[in-house]
Amino acid sequence: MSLPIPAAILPILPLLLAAAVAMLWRRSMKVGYFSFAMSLVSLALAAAIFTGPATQQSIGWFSIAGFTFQLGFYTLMLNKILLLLVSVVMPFVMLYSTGFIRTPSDQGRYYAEMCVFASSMMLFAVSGSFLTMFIAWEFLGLTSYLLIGFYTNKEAAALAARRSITIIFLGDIAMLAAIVLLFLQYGTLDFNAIMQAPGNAAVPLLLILFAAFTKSAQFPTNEWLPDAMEGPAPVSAFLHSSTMVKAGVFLVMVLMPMYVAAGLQNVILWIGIVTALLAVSNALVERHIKRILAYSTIEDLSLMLIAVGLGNLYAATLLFIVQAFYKAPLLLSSGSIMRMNDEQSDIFKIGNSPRNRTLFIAVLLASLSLASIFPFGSWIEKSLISSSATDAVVGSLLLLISFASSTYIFRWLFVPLSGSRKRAEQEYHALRKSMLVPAITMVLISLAISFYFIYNYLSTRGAGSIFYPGLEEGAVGLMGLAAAYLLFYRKHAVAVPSRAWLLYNRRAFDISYYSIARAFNVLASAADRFDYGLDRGINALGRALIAFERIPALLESGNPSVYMLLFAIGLAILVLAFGGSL
Amino acid sequence: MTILISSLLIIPLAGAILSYLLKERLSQAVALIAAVLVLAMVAGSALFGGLPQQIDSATAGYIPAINVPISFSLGGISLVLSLMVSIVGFAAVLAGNHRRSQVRQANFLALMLEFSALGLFMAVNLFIFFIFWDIGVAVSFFMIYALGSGDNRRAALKFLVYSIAASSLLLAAMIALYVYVPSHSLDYSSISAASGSLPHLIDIGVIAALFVAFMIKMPVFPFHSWMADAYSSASTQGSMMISGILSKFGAYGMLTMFMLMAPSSTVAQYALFIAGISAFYAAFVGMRQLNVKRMAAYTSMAELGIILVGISSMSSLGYAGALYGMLAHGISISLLFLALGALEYMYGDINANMLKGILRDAAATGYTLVVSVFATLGLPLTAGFIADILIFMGATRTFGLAGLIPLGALILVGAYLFVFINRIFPSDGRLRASQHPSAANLIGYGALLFATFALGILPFVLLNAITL
Amino acid sequence: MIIEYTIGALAVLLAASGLSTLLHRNARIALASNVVFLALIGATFAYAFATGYYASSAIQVSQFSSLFGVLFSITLIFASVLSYAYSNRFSALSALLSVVAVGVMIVDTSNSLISLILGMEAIAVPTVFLIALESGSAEPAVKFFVMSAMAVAAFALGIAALMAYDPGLSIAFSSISAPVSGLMLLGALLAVAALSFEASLFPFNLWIPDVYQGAKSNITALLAGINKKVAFVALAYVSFVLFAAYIPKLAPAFLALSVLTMFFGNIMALVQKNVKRMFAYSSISQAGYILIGFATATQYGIGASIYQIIAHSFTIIGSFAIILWLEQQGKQSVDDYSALSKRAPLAAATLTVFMLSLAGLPPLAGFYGKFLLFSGAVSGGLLSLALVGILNSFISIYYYGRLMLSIYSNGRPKLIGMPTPITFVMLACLVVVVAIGLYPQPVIAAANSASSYLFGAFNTPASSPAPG
Repeated sequence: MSLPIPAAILPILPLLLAAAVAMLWRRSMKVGYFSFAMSLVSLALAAAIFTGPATQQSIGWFSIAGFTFQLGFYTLMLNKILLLLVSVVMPFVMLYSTGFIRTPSDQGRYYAEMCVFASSMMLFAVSGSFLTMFIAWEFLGLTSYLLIGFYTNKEAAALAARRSITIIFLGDIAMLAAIVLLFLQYGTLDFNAIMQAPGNAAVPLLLILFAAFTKSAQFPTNEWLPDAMEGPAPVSAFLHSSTMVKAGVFLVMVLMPMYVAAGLQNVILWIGIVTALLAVSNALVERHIKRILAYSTIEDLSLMLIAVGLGNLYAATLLFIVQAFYKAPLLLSSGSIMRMNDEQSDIFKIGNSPRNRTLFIAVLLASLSLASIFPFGSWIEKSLISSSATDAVVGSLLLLISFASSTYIFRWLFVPLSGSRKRAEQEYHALRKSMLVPAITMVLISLAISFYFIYNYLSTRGAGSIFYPGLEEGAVGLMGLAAAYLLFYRKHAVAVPSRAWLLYNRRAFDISYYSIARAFNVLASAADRFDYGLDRGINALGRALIAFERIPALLESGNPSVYMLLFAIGLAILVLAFGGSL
Repeated sequence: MTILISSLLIIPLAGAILSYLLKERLSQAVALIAAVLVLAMVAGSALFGGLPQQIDSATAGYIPAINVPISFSLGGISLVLSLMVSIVGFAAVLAGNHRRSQVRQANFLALMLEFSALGLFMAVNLFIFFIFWDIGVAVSFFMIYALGSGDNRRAALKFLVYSIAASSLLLAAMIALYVYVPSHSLDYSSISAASGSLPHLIDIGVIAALFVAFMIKMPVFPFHSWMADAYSSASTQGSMMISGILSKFGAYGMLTMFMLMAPSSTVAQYALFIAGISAFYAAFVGMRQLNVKRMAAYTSMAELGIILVGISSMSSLGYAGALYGMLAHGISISLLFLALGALEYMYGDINANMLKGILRDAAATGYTLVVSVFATLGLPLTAGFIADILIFMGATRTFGLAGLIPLGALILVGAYLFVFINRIFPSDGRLRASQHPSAANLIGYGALLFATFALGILPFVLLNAITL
Repeated sequence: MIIEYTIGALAVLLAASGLSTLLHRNARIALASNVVFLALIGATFAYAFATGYYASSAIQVSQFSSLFGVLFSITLIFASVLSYAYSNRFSALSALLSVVAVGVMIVDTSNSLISLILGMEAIAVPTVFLIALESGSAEPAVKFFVMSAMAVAAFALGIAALMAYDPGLSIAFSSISAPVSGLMLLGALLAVAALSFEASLFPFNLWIPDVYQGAKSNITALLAGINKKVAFVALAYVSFVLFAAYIPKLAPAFLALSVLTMFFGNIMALVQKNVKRMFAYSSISQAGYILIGFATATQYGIGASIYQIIAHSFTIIGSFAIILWLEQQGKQSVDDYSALSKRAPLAAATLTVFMLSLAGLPPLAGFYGKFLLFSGAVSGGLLSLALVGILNSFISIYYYGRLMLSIYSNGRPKLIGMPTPITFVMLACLVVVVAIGLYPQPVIAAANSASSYLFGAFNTPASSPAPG
């Protein structure tokens, strides 16, 4: 059987080439530029696919016992969107990386891992069957793991990498179980074939949901994402805000009809709301510049799930797209800010952030986009989500979330500003151009996209249905801005005490993860002790043989008369026992 | 075409004897040539043999007095396992032995084990199977003892006693079959044909004896006490071959037994239960191991538990999965031991806390270790994934959702393997290797990694033609 | 007729030339004459066996006796060569050995109880002197003498019971199918007990370890490799020819003796620290295995016993050859054997092969013996006996394994070179053990036809319960 290469995976090939090159010339500073160039090639190919027709291809991989393992490749609308999204973000990240990653010994592994990641992400984007999806899915986990643990001189990075992969691996196994069940139930793994087939598949759907939650950092597996910020800034911007973490949400979006049919929408909705509330409350009190954004990313992902839960796939898709273009620049800029401030990550200790105008404009515009302020970034999407929330409780919770998100992002922006007046004398590291251009360009794209979305929406559907929600969202966004200004800019920044449990619930998660780990450890040490005991028991059994050493005293007396006696006894027994008829 | 099977047996045997008789350097060359030849022949027949169930078979009268013919067959299952043997054997011979005085013995034993494994997997007669089984036991005993280090004395004796216990059970079952199979033939086909008509008690007894014998060999809880000691005190080459190849004697035996004897579904349920317990148990114990080789040993045991899950499903999916699992496990576990052995050679000591910074100081070995961990956990595009999905499909098909429970053991294994592998990430910049990894080691990594990915990406080469 | 005369003449010549060495005292000539005449006798028997010659007159020559004639000729040659190695009184030794050899041939071909008992005495009496001559102290010789006197007494008593029925004391007597009588049965049991003494069956064998250990190893080899086997031949004649009608009564006794002997030998061997003593117990347990065939009491079972006798003779003589060599350097305990492999790899490997054969690992001679014996037992309905046998062969691996650990441990022992005669015997036995193991067909077939002669020639043909 031969494997024809489907057109949908063409954009991957340049990246694989780049990965191979990076592995071979591990210490060359040029591999970054090569990877950047290849990502542009890949972008061109992806754009061609985006403008091309929607295709569905299915290739038999192998078959056994009547089951044919099909690799599916789709370029339906959602697939195209994700493919393009990845390939658009990637060159920016690569360009930024050429400025950010400067250690020669890091070059090869960084670019190789990034390119393999991007390949898997693109494969994920065009996957048309669970099999293809799962292949990409696990490689996303692997590359994410390696990239989080990229800084080998930081213990924390290794710890974070381990925590993330442990959680993600849970999801992988759940997904494997779901695939097994789906395959047995439907006899195929093709997305469309499964979705069109009748039958209830609640168990595998719940397993998939769990897997998606691990990938998209939703409750209760949400805490790995803030940890993941130990990775380099471009990694956080690429994997952990704009692409990889969306894989879970994307899958739920693709499978939405099945979730609707199985009546699991409310599960998605409420997990999303809970996660969003947890995330924003953490973001309000967190001090780590990137972790705040990580919580924000969790919130974004929750909002997409809420949109799916409310049945508004349109809003989810719009947010899916635009979020990448304001969140990635924020994270890239965080990396720049940290670089300027001697890798300081505490927003209360960072000065210097406004010293670079370009950078400041980028983060300001991105913050406005993140807060639902008209007409920037996420305003239209959040309004759309609000508009489909028919339940008053859900609606008000959504507003609360929006308010909080506006507050924390301006806190994020203002605290360093207020600090910079005091700490202006702090040493300033100049930034390379390659680290500035991507962020500002992406922010501008995000503005363009959001304006286009608003224009498109208003021109096709009119303002009616989103007028009030939009007004509310915009107002809430401005209120958040005002609150942040009052609390964190005008006065001295309020450092919320870290023991504010209700808000800073990260600790609770740490403790519960730790307890689970400890419970398993207790079981493990019991098993280990048992194993040791078993081993000792077997050895003791062996030693018990030594008891036989006492027998020789009896039978090895060396005295012939004893032997003769036994001879006679033996003879007697022989005769008595077997000479029965005597 | 019996020349293929004859050369697959004669080349390792002749290579073994020659490499024992020759001087060190020549011995290594001869051993390597033999291993490469075997690999080339097996891989060649896998690729170009067109994979019918039988590429080659050899039958000849051997001991007509007790109705034992020489009968081998290459193709299908035996081809898959021979491929595994030849890959692992090649990497192990390549890895060689760092102690100069032991090179000749090491080569001899490695090739002898390869010989016994090839013979065992190609045999289609239980008697012949048994002969090669015991050769493998004897060879492994010396591998652990004569080439091992540390507490190798106790480990070797324990291994021997457990293995002979397994052999004894196997002998008992074999004799019962020999007497009660109407044709007094131990050919697999005769056993299979007679399996329904055996007296009930004999049937139960034979299945029980074989089951326990293979449990010991795999090993499966509670007969695993020999394993960790043996794996951790054998030489690198020894642990590669014993964990990679010898453990498959048990797994293959189990598979063959289930296929030939077709035990009742109650037996299958017991088997699933035992397999699950064993996998979870190994995972929990593995979690607490500070000695990395012992940890790898328990990991291997957990994997074998999962392979047994596939076998217990008694479905062709599960069988295929178990078969592929053996292939995948052989490669990934020997890769793990190869990398650990290289680290031991480079740094002297590889207790878990000494691993810090390896990723930076020894990138090739470090990344190999990372990938081998993921391969062990069934990363897609590695052979392990194909195995896992088939095994659990088979198990779920037969046992329903209960068949998915052993996946939990995989999660636990993952959890501690990640803890382990993470130790190599952070570096305080102080770690410096006293030795460089040899080129042979690097080639070994390459070969095993290539094999695991090739088999994971191109599973159809082997699977499409196998009907189980 | 010519064959009987040839054998008789050669035996006379052997005895004469043996005794003549007492006059000329030339060790080489003595050895040469022993070897030549034994070789001629062996060749004659081989011819008789090959042509299926059968005669039953003053002496009986059948495939049974001629097979053993060949075996004993070869093993006696080995015993002579072995004795030649270290003895400074070889001419005296040679004379005694030639008498033993004649005794062996008499027992082997005896056609009446008189010649049987004469032959037994012709073996026992010189053996007492051999033991005394070669060991420093008289103690083992005295023990042997006292115990064998008792055995002879029991045997004579047993024969006395028969006198009433057949004054001629022909062995083929019972082929007239006398009615089972109590007195006859008592006689049979007495004879069995008497022969159990030499055949080292528990509880008639307690002298064995003392004497085996006390005697020099070449004599021990004679005791374990020849005298004991001759006793089995005699036991076969007495129980399957003379008392064939009593087999249903005798077989359970054999079963009991077999079980006791196996357990006794193996359990006692477990705790021995002296290698020679360990082998003494090991050879006791082997006698227990041999007796399984007697307990089975079928043609197949006896064939198995015959095979096992042949296989064990060579193994044990070879083992004692190596033990003799080390004994001469004061190395006797298991610890003394440590690191033997470092200085004498060939001797170490050979001893290992012998032990693996004794433990019953394929593809060595000992394995087929066990397979045949146990399968015979199972097909004869003695499943539990087979299981006991398997359990025992499992136990035995522990002490063999322990000695192997010692042999292959590290160290630099001081060793003097191995004399050529010992090397010859060791290698010859190795070749036989390995060759039979690799291709057992001729030996199994020979054993089977010998066994069928035992059943067929004197009795009505026994139907074969198992294949072959």
